Parts: sequence; C-alpha cells; structure tokens
Amino acid sequence: MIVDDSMVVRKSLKKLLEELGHEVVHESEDGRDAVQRYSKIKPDLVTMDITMPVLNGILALKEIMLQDKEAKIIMVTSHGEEELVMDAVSFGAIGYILKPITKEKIEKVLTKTVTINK
Amino acid sequence: MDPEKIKKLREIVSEYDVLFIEDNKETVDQLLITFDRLFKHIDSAYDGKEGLIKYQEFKENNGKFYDIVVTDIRMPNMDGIELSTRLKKINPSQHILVISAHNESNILQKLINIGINTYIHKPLDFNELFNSICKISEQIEQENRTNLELNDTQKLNDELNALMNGYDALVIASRTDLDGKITYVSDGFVNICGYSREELIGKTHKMIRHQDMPESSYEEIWRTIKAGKVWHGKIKNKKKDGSIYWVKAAIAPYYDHQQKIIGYNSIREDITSQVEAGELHHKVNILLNNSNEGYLLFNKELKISEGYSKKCLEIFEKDDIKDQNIADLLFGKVEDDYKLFRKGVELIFKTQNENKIDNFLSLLPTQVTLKTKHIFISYKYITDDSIMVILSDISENIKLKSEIEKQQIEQKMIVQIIANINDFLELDENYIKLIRTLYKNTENSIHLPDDTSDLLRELHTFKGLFYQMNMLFSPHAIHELETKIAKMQQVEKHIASLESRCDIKFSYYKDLEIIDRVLGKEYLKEQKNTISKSKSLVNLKYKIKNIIKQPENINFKLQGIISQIDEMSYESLYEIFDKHISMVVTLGEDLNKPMKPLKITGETDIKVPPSLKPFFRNMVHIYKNCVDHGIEDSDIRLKRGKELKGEIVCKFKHEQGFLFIDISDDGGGIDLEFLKSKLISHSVLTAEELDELSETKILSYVFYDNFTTRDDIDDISGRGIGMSSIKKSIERINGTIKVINRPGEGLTFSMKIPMKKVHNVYESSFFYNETISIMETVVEKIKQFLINDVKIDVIDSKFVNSLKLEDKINVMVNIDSGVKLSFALSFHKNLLKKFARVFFIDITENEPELDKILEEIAKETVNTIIGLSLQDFPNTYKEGMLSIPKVCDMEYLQSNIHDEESRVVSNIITTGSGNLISNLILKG
Repeated sequence: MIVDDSMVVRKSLKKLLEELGHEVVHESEDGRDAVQRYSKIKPDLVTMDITMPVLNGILALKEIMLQDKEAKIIMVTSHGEEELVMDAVSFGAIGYILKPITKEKIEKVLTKTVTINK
Repeated sequence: MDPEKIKKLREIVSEYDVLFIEDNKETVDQLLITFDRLFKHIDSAYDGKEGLIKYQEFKENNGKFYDIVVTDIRMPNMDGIELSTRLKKINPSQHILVISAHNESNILQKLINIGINTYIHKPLDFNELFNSICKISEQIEQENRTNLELNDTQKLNDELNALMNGYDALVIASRTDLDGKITYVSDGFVNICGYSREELIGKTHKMIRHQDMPESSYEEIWRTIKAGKVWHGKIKNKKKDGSIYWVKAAIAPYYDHQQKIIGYNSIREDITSQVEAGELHHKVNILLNNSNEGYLLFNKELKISEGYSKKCLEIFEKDDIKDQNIADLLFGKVEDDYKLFRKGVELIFKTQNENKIDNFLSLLPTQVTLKTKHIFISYKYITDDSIMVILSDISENIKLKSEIEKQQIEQKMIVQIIANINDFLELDENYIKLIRTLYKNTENSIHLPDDTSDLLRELHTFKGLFYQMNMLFSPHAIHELETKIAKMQQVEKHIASLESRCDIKFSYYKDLEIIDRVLGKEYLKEQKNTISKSKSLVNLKYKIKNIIKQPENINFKLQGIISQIDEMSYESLYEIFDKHISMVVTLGEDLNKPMKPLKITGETDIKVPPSLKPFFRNMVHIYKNCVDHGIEDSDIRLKRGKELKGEIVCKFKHEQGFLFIDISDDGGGIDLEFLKSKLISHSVLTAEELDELSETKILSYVFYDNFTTRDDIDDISGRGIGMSSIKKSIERINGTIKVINRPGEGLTFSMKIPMKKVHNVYESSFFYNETISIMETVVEKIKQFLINDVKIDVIDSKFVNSLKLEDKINVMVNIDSGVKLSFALSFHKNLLKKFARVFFIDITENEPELDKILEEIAKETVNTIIGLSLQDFPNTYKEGMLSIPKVCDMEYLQSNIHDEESRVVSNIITTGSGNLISNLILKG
C-alpha cells in the first residue's frame, strides 16, 4: 500500500515496487484514507509520506500501529525531516527512504524488512 | 640414662642380630650369658677369619647384615682392624663395636680411618658394653630414620623428575656455564627456537637473540645475575627460521655447595601471542592516533570516555575531552542539530531494537563546522552504553572550493569598486584624510579626539560604505576599532591615544593592494585624474572583460555581478533631469517668456535603465510645448494674478511596476474650443466627429502628427512634430501619455512607463550577494539533477536580469524563515517529459492527462531540488518552512515577479530539450 499525496511519488513507487516483484494493492492520497483502508486490505508493507493533507504520516502511522502491532511501515521523507523520522521510527516505522527515490534505496529497505520478518 | 629410654632401647636391641668375635673363650661365654636375652640372636666367632665367614653366611641366610658386630682387636688369623676394614668394604654402614686392651693411639687412628668411632677398653665392663651398644643402637635408629627420609626424598625426586620430563617439553628452560655457554636446554626450548639440542649446547643465547633487543638490555641481564640476583623481563627472540617469539624470562644464578656461582638457569614462558595482541592494540592505537579521523566513544550521559584518539583533541581544540559532553562539543552552536542529536541518542539508548538503532543512527546529523573546520561525522553503535563517533576533517576538501570563493569575493569587491569608482575615489579621499587625522604623525597609535561621538559616527558611515563596496578588510577593522573605542569609553572618559591592534590603516592598504593587484597599480591613479563617468564606463567594460576571462564556474558567478554592472549604467531621474533645469530657463528667454528653472520633485532617486534615455531626451518637446503654448504672456499672467515667471514641475513616482512622470506647467491650459476649431480648420476632424468625442479624446489630438495649434511656424515649437514624437517614443517603450487640462491653471502631461524598480546600487548589491548565493545552490542542484538523473546535457546556464515568460509549466514553492523566499521554476513541457523517466513514469504517445502528469512531475522535481538545496542554504533560510509546491499560471507568476516589493533573481538553463527558468523571489 502506498500512501502519498503526490501522484508522481505514488506512480514512481508503484512502478519500482512492481519491478521488484511486489503488488501494489492500494494507493492513498492522505493519511485518513490509509488508516481506514489498512484494516480491510492488511497489506504486507506500507510506504508512508510524512507531510500530507488531512492526516499526516506520523499520525497515520500511529493509528495503523494501534490496529496492527506487526504493521510494516516505511516512511518516505526528504531532507530536514530527520526529527519526524525519528519519531516515526520510535512509533514503529521499520525504515525510511530519503527522497529522491531510487530503485536501490527501495531494494535496500525492503531487504531489511525481510530480515526483520524472520 | 633414664629408665624410659632404656626400656625403649631394650625393645629396639631385642630385635638385633649381633656377632661376637673374641679369641678368649671365657669372655665369649660370659658375653653370651649376659646378652643372650638382650638381643634377638647372638653369633660368636673366635678369630677374624671365622668372624668374616660367619658374617657372610649370616647375610646369605638372612638377607640382612648383623645389626652390630662386636670384635676384639688382637686375635689370631685375622685381627680386629683387618676384619673391620673388610666388613666396612662389604657394608659401609655396618656398625662395629671394637674392644681393645690397650689405649693405643695408633690403633685408634686406624679405627677412625676405617670409620669406626665406638670402642671400649678391656677388661670388659658389661655396663660400659651395654652403654656402647645403646649408643650404637641410637645411631642405628637415627640412620634408619634418615634412610627412610632419604627414601622419601628419592621417591619425591623421582616423581618430580617424571613430572619434569613431562614438563620439559613445555617448559622453556636452559642452563649455562659462567660464560653463558649453554649446558642444558629443555625440550620446550628446543621446540620453540627451532634449533636442535646439539646445535644449542656449547653456544650462547646470542643464537636466538633478535636484533630489536638493545645491547643494553643484555648488559643489564648480566649485571643482575652476576651480582647473584634474579633477572625478570621480556625478551624478543628469533627462531631458526627467522620468525619472532617473545618470552617472559627469569634468569638466576645457580650455586655449588660452597655457595659459589657456577652457572645460570633460566626459565621462560612463551608470551608471543600476548605480545602480539598488545602490539596489535598498540598498532591500532598508533593507527587511530595518526589517522586523519578522530575516534571517540560516548555514553548515555553523552560523556566522552577515556581512550579517544589524538585527532579529537585537534578537532575540538582542547587538551582533554574526557567526560565532556559530546553534544555540546559538536553541536553547541547549531541549535537544530543539537536537538536532533540529543533526541536521536536518547532514542538509541532507550531501545534494544537493532533496526531502530540503525535507523536512528542514520538520522543523526553528519556534518558540522567547528570554527574553521568542516567535520564529517559518522556513528557506530558499540554497546548499550556507548556510541562511537568518527570525525573526519574535510576542511582541506572544502579549502579548494573556498580558494575559489575568496577569488570570487575579491572579484566582487573589484567589480563593486569599478562600478562605483567615483564614489570610491571620494570615499578614498575622505578616509585617508580621517586616517591622517587619527594617526597624526605617528606610525602605530591612534589619537582620539576628546569627544569621540563624531568620530564614531564617521567610522560607522565608512564601515557601511566599505561594506557595500564589498571590501575585504576595512569594514572588519573599523568594526573592531569602534568596539574598542566604545569599550574604553566605559572605563575612562578621555583617551588620548590608542595603541591600536585593529589597524584600520593597514587594513585599508590591504584592500587597496587587492585593487592594485587585480587592476594594476596605475588604475586608481588614472581614475583620480579621470572624473568623467562615461570614460570610466568604457574602462570598466574593458576591465570586466578581463575578469570574465576566468574558469567557467567563476564566470557563472560573475553573470550575476554583470547584471549588477548593467544596473550601474542606470541613471537616476535626478541625474537625467538635472540637465533640463537650466534648459527651461533658456527656452523661456528664447521665447520671451521668463521661466523659473525646472522643478524636480518626487522620487528623484529612481534609477532608470539606459534604454529609456532616448525617451527622456524627447522631454525637451514637452518643455517647449509648455513654454510656447502653456505659459501665458507676461501681461496675461499678471492679469490672472500669477507670478511673472512661469514654472514647469516634473514629478516622479514609481508604483506597481510603472514609472509615472507628470510634467505640469502653470500656464493657461488648453482652450478646448480653440483646439476644436484648429482641428476642424486643419481638416483633422469634422465638427460632427468632434461632438461625439470626450474631452480627453479631443485633448489627445495634441499628439497628432503634424498638428499644431500655431498658425506660424517658428524655430522653437517646430512643425507639430514635437508632440507626436513624444507619443511615438513613449509607445516604443510601452508607455502611455495623456493630457490633463486645467483651463486657466495649467496643463499636465501625465506619462506612465512600465519599469521594474531598480534600487540604488548599494542596496541591490546586498541583495545580490545573498540571493545569488542561494540561487546558485539551486541552479547547481538543478544542473546535477539534469546531468546525473535525467541524463541530458546542459548547454548553457546564465543569470539574467529579466525574462520573457513563455508558455511553460510553472511551479512555485515558498520558504518562510522570517524572510519570505519564493522559488518559481518554469519548465518547458518537452523537458518535463524527459523527467518522467527519473520518476519511473511512462508517458504514452497520446496520454489523455499529459498536462496533469507533467504538472505533477514538475511539482515533485521542485520538491526534490529545493529539498536537496535547503541543506546548503545560509543558516537563516536553512531552517525555513518549505511549503507544498503549487502549480501556478503565468499571470500569477508575473504578478509575483513584477510585484513592487519583490526582488527577483532569474536564471535560465538551456538544454537540448528546452529551457528551465528559475526565479528566486525575495519578498519584503
């Protein structure tokens, strides 16, 4: 599941995740939608933008973690958001990708996710 | 003798077997009777020969010797001496009691030589005999005990030997003689050194000596052991194959029974692995200490542990950093990073989760500037109570960059000075005057006036002006002097002189040196002689051309400065209209209408570009018109109660991107009816047509080609060409002109000319310095993005003064950090299509929502680029809040760029796929 208010980011993440053999089951434009849909879809992984309208990434993450302690959420962030990412990680995000997004970065964070799964 | 002892002895001797040898049969019988019950068994013999036979028989039959042999000396066949000698040969420990008739000293001597020390005299006293036997038995008992002990010691020795044999392989032991020649080596010794026992014996330990061991240490060993002491220490040895082994050795002298040193023993322990580990540790330390990186550990309390590498001290410029707070040391001056660091570290120590720790570590700040040093920081989690910090000084890498920057700063100063050469020369003159006053005739000290307030004001002004000139040294030196004076005033009211370290004279000469170096020594001199601005402008262009012959990157920076130089050729309205002031008076004289000088009011300091100059030259037509047609003849003016001398007023105003110029006279205005009649008589319009026109419209006919209200044509008001040329020239610069008629009171020509306000040069240079540096960062990131990510070549990149906006996708983003900055990036659509790849988006041939996708791409591009640039911005902007990028239309962008209160820096990047225009808009 991809959560990002930017269409371009959603598209590029989708494309890259699919190239890496994953299926994108849902795209949310804001945190509220993400929280509502998470419980129904139960995706294996969520990519979460931090600055979003309606409900920001941190709050969305918190709500999802409340629903599902095992949720695997990766933050998508830019420079200057380090403190927010720290918050996200302490609330349970398993990793983060610093924009600009590249295939290598996604692969790296996904590999980490798999090892944590074990 | 005490009865207890006798009792005990009786018990002992009752176990004895005894042989009596006596030639006197009577004595034998007596003895046998007396001692029969005392001993276990008594044998007797009558001479030495028989005694010897019996002695040997007894041994053969009983497996033991007689415990005691009692013998007479004088006997036939074999005497007692001979017998005793034989018996002692057979059994050296045989106890023999000798009975002698004579106290013959020669016999006694013989007995002692044989080893017999017990004898009794004849005639036999049985008591004495018994006592002697008791003594012997005591001796025997003593011997038996000793023998037993000896047996035990032997056993112990054997065990020990066995053990030692086993250990021999492990123990590295050797023995040498007094000369150090090896007499014994253990198997362990042989094994470790690789030489065979045969090779070692007879040699000295030099064989295994390593060249690293100093001669002095061997001297010390010899000194110690020769003095009879034990030497302890570590020795580096060399094996037969040349490899190294370390031993911990104890070397001790060993003695003979007379306590004389007869050689040396040594026992060693192989400590090679320990030494190697130690050496490794030592080497690691050397490595760490000599590395260009600082290593340190800190704990939960952020305290630095002992054992940091030396480089840390250099980086922090401290003598000791143990127990100091790492956050204070690193980020004490950078609030945001300090906060981030503390938060991160706290979170790291709070969790055990490796993944979280990894994440937190990677989010900690990685760069910091400590004084002049640029430090790159990396972190490593060691234990749940310590984090390792690796500090790399990357100043050197940045130094090259700053060398170039220094050059650029110098160039900025030069450009600024050339651009304002006249101002500078004036400043130079005044400043040198001030310096002379301050220093009087002394070289080193400044003489202050009683009242320093004027001086402080003056210095402050110079500081500001020099700063605006981008001068490198003087502003700082003046600042220091100001501070010093201010400080001293607090202490003492009157200070006559000041030993000045903050040498403003020296600093100023340093600044002048730069000018001399770059522009040549004659430049300032020449300039002083050449006051003409136009001439210096020619000169300037020449100099600038020279400066621009520089590497590309500097050139790039200079683009911004050049636009500044363009501004420099701007003139203020005052400068332009100044020339017109007396012109009006002259015009009046020529037309016989006395005129006051032209009055110039309003925002006269507005700078106008050279492009407007031809238009301003046409102003003369307006003045002529005013004087000729507007200003009444003197008699009429008097009649109307006006001043005799007519007046023309120029009023300037800049508003919303337009320059407004009103030129008014205090004449009679236009008689509308008269104008109408003229228009009809000149067949411009018919009466009917005139009726349908508004007053304004009719008035605008004064600009009509070849139209003049005059019937006669004179030299001054021409042939009606004047006003129409005004109209044409104002249209050429997209301006408008209208006539406002105040019948009887005057006429106003109101002009509106589009023009971006140009601030005075000093102000704009401030603006440029900062904004250009910000813009450069952004442009650099865009270029990197284009080249590295999009993989298209950048053909050209230049800073421009103003831009014609084309049909593009425009995205705006705001950074609010107190100062409001906006970036507007305009992308050519073709270029954006190329960007799609970067975001892994495919655009199909007939994409129905192409524009929408391109807009999204543009937004994300701006996000990426500004996001990346932000970290390299000056601190004030770095911490700013970045807004969400928004797509905006042309009008909105235009209104922002042309906003009166905004200042704009523009850059255009040309690529093979279209342009990318960046505008940096600084608001307020």
